[in-house]
Order: sequence, then structure tokens, then C-alpha cells
Amino acid sequence: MSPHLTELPLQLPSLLAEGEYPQCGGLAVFGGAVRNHHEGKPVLRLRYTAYRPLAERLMREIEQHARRHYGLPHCRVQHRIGLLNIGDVAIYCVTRAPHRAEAFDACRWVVDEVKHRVPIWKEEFYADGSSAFVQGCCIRADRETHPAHDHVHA
Amino acid sequence: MNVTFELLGVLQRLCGSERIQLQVHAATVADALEQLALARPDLRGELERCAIASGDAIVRRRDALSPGAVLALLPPVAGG
Repeated sequence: MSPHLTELPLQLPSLLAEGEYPQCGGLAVFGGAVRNHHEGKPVLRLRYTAYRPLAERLMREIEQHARRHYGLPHCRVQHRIGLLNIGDVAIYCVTRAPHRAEAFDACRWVVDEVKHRVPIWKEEFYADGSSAFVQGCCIRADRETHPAHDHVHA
Repeated sequence: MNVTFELLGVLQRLCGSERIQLQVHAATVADALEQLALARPDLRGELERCAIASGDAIVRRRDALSPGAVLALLPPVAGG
């Protein structure tokens, strides 16, 4: 099985080759690629970093939950870390289900969960030579109050 | 006791390093974070928004601190 986090370019054929699921008529794939702009600023490249011990455990748990909740025989998600150029794929999610509805729904849910919960950070490098970490989701478990989810995920 | 704070995301940039070691008099994770904030007041705002992990688990501010603890400071996340 391919790792959940890797510094190597993601290989969709390898993910699609994992296992055989003749009972599944639905196959959903989401790929998130690096785009060349953010909030109006030209972006040249990104760097993703992660806290691996927790990130890998959470990604396994998200896959397991998706399989249970959506009744999927198969669910995989993989995220790239390191320096990525425009057009490089940062995340793939593959879901297989007997029918398309569960495959689509689970695929969206898994990607949202990874964005909201997994300790991965994105640093953008801009055309003007500056760089910044993208505003993210606070994952504190013991925060007394939960501020509104006041940022937009692209 | 000695505590090591692992710095992730924007904290690495703010500190220019991957970890900070401190001698603290602390009973809980919250105590250790307060002493880090006293040593590095420029981090206080970011620390408020950090989750804290030990190994592959999130720990809570009220949890007891073990001697030699290694605490990973996890700022808001933005994968995908």
C-alpha cells in the first residue's frame, strides 16, 4: 500500500491498482493540484509540511471512518509534502462503492476532513518574492469557544 | 524539568528553528505553554491557536506533564 504522506510525486495508477473490487460500480477520484494564484496574488510554488506521527494516524482513521460510514469496500487518501510546482498534484482521494452516490459523497467528505483536521501546512511563494503560510483550521481539542470558521477553502 | 517544544508550520518560521528546549516548573501542559509564552512573548498569539501533540496523539492543556516531555505545537492546519 502506498504511504499516506510522501515527498515523491503522487502516482494515481498505483492508487487505482490497490485491490480488486468487482462488486464496485462506482469509482470516484479527486485530485487537488497546485494553482497559480491565491486571493489575487500570483503563486509560483508551494511547500507542504506535516507533523507525520499524527497526520498519518488521522489519515488512516479518516479512511476507516469513510469505509464504515459510507459502506465503502475501498477508500484511500494520499498527500504530498515538500516543494510543489504549479500543476503538481498535492492530494488524491480514491473511493470505490457499489454505486456512484456513496463514492462521490465519501470522496468529498474525506478530502474535507483532511483539510480540516490533519496537521499539514501550506506555505505559498509569490511572484513578488514574498511567501506566507495559508490561514488554516484550528484543531485545538480543548478550546473553550470555537470561533466561526471564518476562512474559505478553495 | 526539561521540555522540548517541536515547532511546526508558521512557528518554525517565526523562531528560525525546529525546536525549543526549556527548563520549566510545570505540572501541566498549560503551565509549560505559559512558560514558553513568557520566554517568547512574540509567540503568545500563535500558541493560543495551537493544538498540542505528543507522539501520534493530541494532548489537552490540562493534562499532566511528564519529565522530558516532547510537545509538538500544531498551528491551524491547511492541507489539500
